[in-house]
Amino acid sequence: MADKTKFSEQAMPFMDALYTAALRLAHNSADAEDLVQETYLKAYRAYGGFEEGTNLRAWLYRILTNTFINSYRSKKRRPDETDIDEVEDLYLYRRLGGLEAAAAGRSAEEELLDWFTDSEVKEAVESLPEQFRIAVLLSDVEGFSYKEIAEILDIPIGTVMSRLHRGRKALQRQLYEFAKSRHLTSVDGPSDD
Amino acid sequence: MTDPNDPCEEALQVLYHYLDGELTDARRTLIKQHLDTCTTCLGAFDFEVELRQVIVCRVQDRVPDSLRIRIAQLMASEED
Repeated sequence: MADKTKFSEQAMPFMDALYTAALRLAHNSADAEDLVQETYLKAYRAYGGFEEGTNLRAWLYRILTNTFINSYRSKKRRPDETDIDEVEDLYLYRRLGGLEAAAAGRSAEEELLDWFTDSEVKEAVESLPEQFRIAVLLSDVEGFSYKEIAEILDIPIGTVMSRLHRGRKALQRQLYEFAKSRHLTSVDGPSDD
Repeated sequence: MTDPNDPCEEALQVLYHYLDGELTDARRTLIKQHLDTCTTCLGAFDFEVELRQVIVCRVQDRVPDSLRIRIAQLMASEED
């Protein structure tokens, strides 16, 4: 049995991360705020039965994703998962990998960071069909293991892996569209200075 | 056609499992050894690592203070 008075101390530090996930899922701040609030209240009420020592963060995400799926999803219809086109492996690397080294004296990561704005990365994540978006958020952003994601979403590990595989490809494809429209013309030729 | 014995092919096959920390130690060591000697694969692996860092860094939002306060108040009122 977990002590309820410990709940806020232990669960509050995850609120920014849960809010980030909620925004990417719900697409708007009003729903995201409601989703986070509902998640924390449900968790607080159920915390007495929460087994201490088990993964509180994973448990919070489980409540968040279940609440989203049951109450908030598809106010407008999202594209079906079959709408994802398969693209080749290393899709983005094959297109941007050579270009990032163009400027001297900067790390590749700094270069890559400049390719995309916050809002582009957020929009690219939000463009993914829901199942893929949730898997990518839990893995790439939150760093949960395949097994943890399988437990959070109640799906087999094989399904986790295939959703990640397809979701990441779709994400790279969307990011490339942003990179292309913002940058490619300016890096095609040598710089002037 | 892909050659199952090509070490580059093999490394790329497990790139995400490697990044996700989902390989066995033995397999992980083999991939690391390959990356030490193959700049082509290392370039691809590094790119994917960096891309993920960029995504994590750019995708974050902060909870509005008003929500933080509201949740704390709602939990406090539950105790009554």
